[in-house]
Amino acid sequence: MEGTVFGLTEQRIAELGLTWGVGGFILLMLVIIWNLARESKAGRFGTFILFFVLAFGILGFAMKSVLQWLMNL
Amino acid sequence: MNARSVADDAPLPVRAIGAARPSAWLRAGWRDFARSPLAGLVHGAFVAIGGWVVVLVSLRHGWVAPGAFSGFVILGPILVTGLYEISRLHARGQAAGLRDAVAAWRRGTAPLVWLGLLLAALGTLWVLVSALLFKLFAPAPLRGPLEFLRYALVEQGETLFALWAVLGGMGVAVVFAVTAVSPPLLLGRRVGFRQALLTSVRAVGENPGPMTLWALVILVATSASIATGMLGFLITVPVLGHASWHAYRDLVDAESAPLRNP
Repeated sequence: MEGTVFGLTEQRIAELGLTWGVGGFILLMLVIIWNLARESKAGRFGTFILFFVLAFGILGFAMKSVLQWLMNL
Repeated sequence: MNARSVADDAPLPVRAIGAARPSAWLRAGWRDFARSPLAGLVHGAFVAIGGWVVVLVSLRHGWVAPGAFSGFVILGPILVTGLYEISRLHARGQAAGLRDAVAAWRRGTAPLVWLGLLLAALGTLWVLVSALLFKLFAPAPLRGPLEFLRYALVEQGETLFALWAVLGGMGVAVVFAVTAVSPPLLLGRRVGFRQALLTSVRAVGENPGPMTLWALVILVATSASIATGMLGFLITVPVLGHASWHAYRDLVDAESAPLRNP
């Protein structure tokens, strides 16, 4: 088979990285956030994270759209 | 062992603030900048030059670009230490200038250096994660920044973007939370490193609405400054830097911690 590492194709490695790697990283972030909220006695730290991620996503999407529009000019 | 050292790590008390406070911080920041414009412009110029260095590095190694900017932005709170000092002196009714900012830098308290190292490490981690994400998704190695930009903006699907936004959003949110008020607190008061970070998280967690707004103001101002070829930093760095000090004064009740320079 072409381009295999330890018997895994490149596509399979990308799939594994996506599911386990990124999933694990998100889980790690959640643990850090939970721990910070607990130790700082911050009542609504989770609410802030939720607000922020939503706002960050919307802002990022808007910027992406503007850049796409600029590049297609 | 006295009572203070027992509770050394406990976050300081914080205040709940109104949703309109961020605009008051900006106005106060502008006033401080107008009183000591030279120091503000010098700080802005440092950041603008740093921005250009990041761009030049990215031009040579395109895949570093997505994280490099974020990594650089993360160092912001440390870079503007001198501006906090000027705001602090203004609030005491003293005149302040570039010399005071330089003195604050040279005094460079150890915990501030640690914060800088932590932020630099987080910035590097973010560059690596971004690079890994793009390596995983890009069908072929991306050569050069233009190829990267075209891929990131036009060819890639919404999945990568959503993942990047969630991962990056959580990372930036945590960094913002630990640095929102900790640098001016470390500069002004004798508090531990951990204590300063936890106080900052507490202040943010106590005010999720206003602090999301404040974070957005910083994100938009930074993006706009980059869009003007870094020139905008000459204004946004001093105004946001001074404003951050006023945010700290509003959010943290630091009376129980001893002054660093009485």
